[in-house]
Amino acid sequence: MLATACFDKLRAFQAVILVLAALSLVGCASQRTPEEIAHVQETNDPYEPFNRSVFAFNDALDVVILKPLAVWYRFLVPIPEVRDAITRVLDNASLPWTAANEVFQGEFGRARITTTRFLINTTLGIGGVFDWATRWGFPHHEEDFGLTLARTFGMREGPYLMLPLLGPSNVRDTGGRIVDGVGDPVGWILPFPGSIVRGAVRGIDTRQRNIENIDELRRDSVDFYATLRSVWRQRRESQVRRGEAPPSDIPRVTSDMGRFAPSVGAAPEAAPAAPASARPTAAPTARPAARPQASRQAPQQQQGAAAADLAPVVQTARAPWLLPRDAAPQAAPPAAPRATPEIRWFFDPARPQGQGQ
Amino acid sequence: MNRREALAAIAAVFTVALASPAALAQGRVGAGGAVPNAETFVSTLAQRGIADLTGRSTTESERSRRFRAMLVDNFDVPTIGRFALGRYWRVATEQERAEYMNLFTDMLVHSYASRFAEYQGEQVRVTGSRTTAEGDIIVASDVARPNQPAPNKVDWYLRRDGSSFKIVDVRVEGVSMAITQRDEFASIIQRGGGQIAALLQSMRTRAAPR
Repeated sequence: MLATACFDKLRAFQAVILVLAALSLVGCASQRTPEEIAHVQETNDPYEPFNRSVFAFNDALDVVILKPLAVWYRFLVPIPEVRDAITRVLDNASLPWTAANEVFQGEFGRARITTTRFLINTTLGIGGVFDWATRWGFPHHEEDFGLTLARTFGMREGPYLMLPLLGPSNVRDTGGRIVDGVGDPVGWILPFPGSIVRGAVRGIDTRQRNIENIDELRRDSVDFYATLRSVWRQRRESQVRRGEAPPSDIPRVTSDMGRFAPSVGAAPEAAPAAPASARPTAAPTARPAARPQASRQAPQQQQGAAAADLAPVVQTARAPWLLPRDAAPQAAPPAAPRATPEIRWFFDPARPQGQGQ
Repeated sequence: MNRREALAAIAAVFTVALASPAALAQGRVGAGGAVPNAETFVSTLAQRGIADLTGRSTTESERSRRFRAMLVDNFDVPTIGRFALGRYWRVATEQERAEYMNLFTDMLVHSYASRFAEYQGEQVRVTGSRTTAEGDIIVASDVARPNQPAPNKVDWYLRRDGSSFKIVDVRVEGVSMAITQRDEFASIIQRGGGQIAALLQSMRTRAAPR
């Protein structure tokens, strides 16, 4: 039974690996404008067209199957406490693999907490229905092999990937998921259909808990795919840091930004109709000299500058996620140059000639 | 569990939003570089947000007016706005910049003010603060919402502004509002053929009352 289950999984993973290999070839072949390269650098999404089509598939699946299932689940299990208990059971079942990852990371103290938690909640907590451990000082940890790769091996995220059914990921965490699938002890104990059911319940439970949030996000974002990508990447980075707040990315702007200070009194209704004239301080004609080089007037020069800026980045970045964290070119502006206004994302992009979209 | 994390993040971002409601602040002084003033600033603001903005008793336009006042007074909107336009700030004309800034403020007011109507029973608890090497002050807080088993971790990024502070960013479960906004704007511009006009057009529809 174990061998069959494992073989089934491996076959599925083989397909994923083949797709990844094909993708890497596609990525090498394409020719991009400096503007497109800058965009790819910012979004970490060189396979965006492919990812978007997978996302469209996932999205359709969500509308047709996943969300209806989630709504039904909520209807069939109407008591929130019962649903929370189901979530706790699923969380509890993830703990052995969490503890293993903590051992891989050399975090023996954390592994001890997780192991104790698992023992308490599996026995006294009846498989995780009741959470005594948190009360007794053994909090829940979330770990997976992607985090182990990031922390222990210093592996960078690699290009963003939208996985069918599974949603947002990247090259590192896709590899991590494969190891998660093979390595999870609970997956070894459960027969293969049991693992499938476990995964399905987990998916429906998660979707159920986020019905309102996803509806709201979809309503409020112009480009749902882009927003999800941004949020997911930030969240994942935060997990790698164990939730520690990083220094702000927002530069200290020395120029006279005060002229853009919004006025308090303006009614929101008036704004779209008469944006500039309603606020004399921000009138465009007030400071024509504040913008010495109008980029519109020198598009060629702009393009040249941008291309020169990008050249080293493009040349060095063959597979930056395989380099150690320190050696790899920084995608985000490093902390040191904050004093100077010249920060990576502030450089002038070339005005694009033709878009491939 | 990747999807789950993403969804949790979305949950956090779009429910808690800017100045989150309900405050019962215990300005505990953290270790090393803690700034009690900044902690008080955040808990007072959150308390005011709850008192003035939540609930269905106020009218929509009054709520918008109050939110705008709080936003302008307590957030460094020009700096956030400039950051959110990313590298396109440099290529924008002065006229585009001015219109962008106006729309940016209107958009924030429009998208966040209405959300406070739906809030009820939230609690913001400031848990500490620290000063970064760059001189930013990060105030950490837990925001508990009803019907949510665990509180969300919300970090407030403050800069000194005279004797008070201005907020430059809010991170909910590690997700920065400013970065999320910047990435979405970049995507709109990119898909609009690299033209800032595409973003302005999109913002005009979003800033307009629905």
